[in-house]
Amino acid sequence: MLEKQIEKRARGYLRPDGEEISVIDLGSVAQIASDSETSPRRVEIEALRIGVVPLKYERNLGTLGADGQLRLLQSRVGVVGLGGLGGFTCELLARVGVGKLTLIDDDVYDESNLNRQLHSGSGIIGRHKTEASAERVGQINPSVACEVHNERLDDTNAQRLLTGCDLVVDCLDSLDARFQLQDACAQLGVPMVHGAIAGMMGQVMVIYPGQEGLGALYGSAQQAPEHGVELSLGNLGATAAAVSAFQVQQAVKVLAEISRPDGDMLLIDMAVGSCERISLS
Amino acid sequence: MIEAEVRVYATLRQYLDQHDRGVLHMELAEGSTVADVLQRIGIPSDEVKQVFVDNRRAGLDVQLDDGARVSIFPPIAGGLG
Repeated sequence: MLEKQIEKRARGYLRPDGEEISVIDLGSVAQIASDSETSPRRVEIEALRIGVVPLKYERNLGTLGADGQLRLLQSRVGVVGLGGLGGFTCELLARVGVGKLTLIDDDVYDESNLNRQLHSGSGIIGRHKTEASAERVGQINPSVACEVHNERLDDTNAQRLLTGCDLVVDCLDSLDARFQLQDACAQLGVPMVHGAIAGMMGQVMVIYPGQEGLGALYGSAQQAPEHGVELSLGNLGATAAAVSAFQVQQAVKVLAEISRPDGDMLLIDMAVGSCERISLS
Repeated sequence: MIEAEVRVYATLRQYLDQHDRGVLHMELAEGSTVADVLQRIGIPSDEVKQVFVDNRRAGLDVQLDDGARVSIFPPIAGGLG
């Protein structure tokens, strides 16, 4: 049923490299979803299965392939923390076409967020970050289903909130909370993409279940300081954008099965323009 | 004597000479430790830092082998609020 409607509305499209492919546009996806009483995400999945590419993903195709795009659309990613890192992360995940997002944060915007938090704005001070991000996702890509939790993640609710996620992006701001998140991800058996920033510096690391991860970096949760040098250096928007871009790219590689990033930590130092890998194993 | 490659990151670069890009090649006496490296650079003992020797987290008393690679950087944890 869906297949016939998709084929009827598909059209030819000449890619920039000269290859001709079959695509379906936004309006057609929405119409078919409405007529069939299903979600636009389901229509896009079916389209990719029969070799029709939703036009909005056409520029992903050369790198991710139709199979990679299909895997992304079928994935659920947890974004824990929707501040500096989380806003950019959420935006990029929606644009690349991760099909389901679980957004977790109990905080509301305040004025000191405006320098770096992508979905904040002068007119929405006091608004829940999860709600602003979910609204933005809906504007960018209505096929992405957002599940919103206005809660602060801790060790009592982490497993409940993250159940069903295929991967989790750590956009938190305290080491204690990050250790709790790492434990929850290990118990759920899903990879976590850690990211942290301070001033012009940031770090990114993919932590697979069973790996030492943050422990290799800081020792145990008890040994780790609660915060780092960000308390004095602050956080800049460009650093948040760069580090979340690395986090999302790592997540996409894992989910689309492009490659399996190793457990090395990327240390990004924008003060001198360097990005180095530090092996922790 | 032994040789060590020492990389210093972010805020800790303030202790280096200005022309330095964060990578130091040091000659040290046999038996030298992480503490000796920090002292040579001039990083105060109360400065919060993480040290890795040959990709493993290391305490101040860890002795360095010839050719050791030492990375020193501050803890960072920001991202949200």
